[in-house]
Amino acid sequence: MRLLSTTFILIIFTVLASCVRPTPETPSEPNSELLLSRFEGIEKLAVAGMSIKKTASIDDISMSEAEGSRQIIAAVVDALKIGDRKAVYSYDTYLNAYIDMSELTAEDITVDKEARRISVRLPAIKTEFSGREAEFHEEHYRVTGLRSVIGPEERARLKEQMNTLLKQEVKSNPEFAALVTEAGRRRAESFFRQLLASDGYEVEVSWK
Amino acid sequence: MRKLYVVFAGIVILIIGIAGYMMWQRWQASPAPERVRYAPAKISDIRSMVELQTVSVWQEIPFKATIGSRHLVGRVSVEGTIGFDLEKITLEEQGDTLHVTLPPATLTLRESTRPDAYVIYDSWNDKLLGPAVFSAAEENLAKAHVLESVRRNIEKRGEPAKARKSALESVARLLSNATGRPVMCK
Repeated sequence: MRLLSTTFILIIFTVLASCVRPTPETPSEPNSELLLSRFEGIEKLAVAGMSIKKTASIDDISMSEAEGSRQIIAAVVDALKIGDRKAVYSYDTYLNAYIDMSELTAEDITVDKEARRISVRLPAIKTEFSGREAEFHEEHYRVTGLRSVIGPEERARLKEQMNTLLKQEVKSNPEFAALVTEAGRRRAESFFRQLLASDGYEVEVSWK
Repeated sequence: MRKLYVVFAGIVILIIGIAGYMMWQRWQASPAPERVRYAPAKISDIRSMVELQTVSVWQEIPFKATIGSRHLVGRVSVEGTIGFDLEKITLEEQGDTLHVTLPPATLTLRESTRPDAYVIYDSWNDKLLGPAVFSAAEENLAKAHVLESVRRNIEKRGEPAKARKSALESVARLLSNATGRPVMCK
């Protein structure tokens, strides 16, 4: 009897368990950070671009510039080295001002036939970095005596550090974005006036 | 007497230890030697433009460059856009219809500004005593070849044609909303 009831309970449990379907895992979109290659549809109207130059120099520490015990010892060590190790590198980074055209809707363009006026309300201009020069300009290079050459690994680390510092500078100084935005605003206004003006219609451009 | 010597020795060791610790702290607090000096970022150019960008590109590419017996292995991240210079579009009115012709696509490719966009893994010379180092000019040339290869691949994939289709739709929508007229784009 006990065996029968236990078997019955097990059967009921099995039937109930099979009725509960596990939620199928929906495959999620791969995180873009994991992708080696990405092509993305966008709708941006670039209206101005700014080139920002960053320069760095490599040189020994001189005794006159040394501050603190670590720098003094480093300056003494550098003075004992045979030869000089001096170089200057630079490259440009690009900052773009653009209008996200996907934010421009049909309601943002109004046509007043009586007043013969077309009013366009453009989305606010945004700024973003749009890459940097692949070329690393070697403005000066002089390594003499027994000093080690400046090789690709050191240049790559230097460029990475320059990139970090440049981005911090641009972020902390709003004037960079303000200048390129203002240039973009002027261009966008003149472009839309030229593009949409026809049949004696006046074009009025404003910003969201 | 012996106890006195032990106490004296202990005091001397303690004084030396405290002095050593203070000197170590001062050493740590002093500025680190820095043989690289960074000039402030400066604006070299501001230019205005009107470019409709409809595709953004991003690729991470490992590369190997070889000059003679010298080799260089690294990775570069490339970013860019496919866009159309709207200052070069042509507008023609045929009856009520506006005919718009877009200029050819412009593919702009640059090194990315993301962290670690350019990394060198190794450089070596097959000859035992030869120099392993690539000069800056040689390295720049290797990178230019990588970017050119990326450009060819993107064109081969037909991405400019896809970008053009999106741009045509975007321009047609804008002009149609503004003028209320039918717009044909090509």
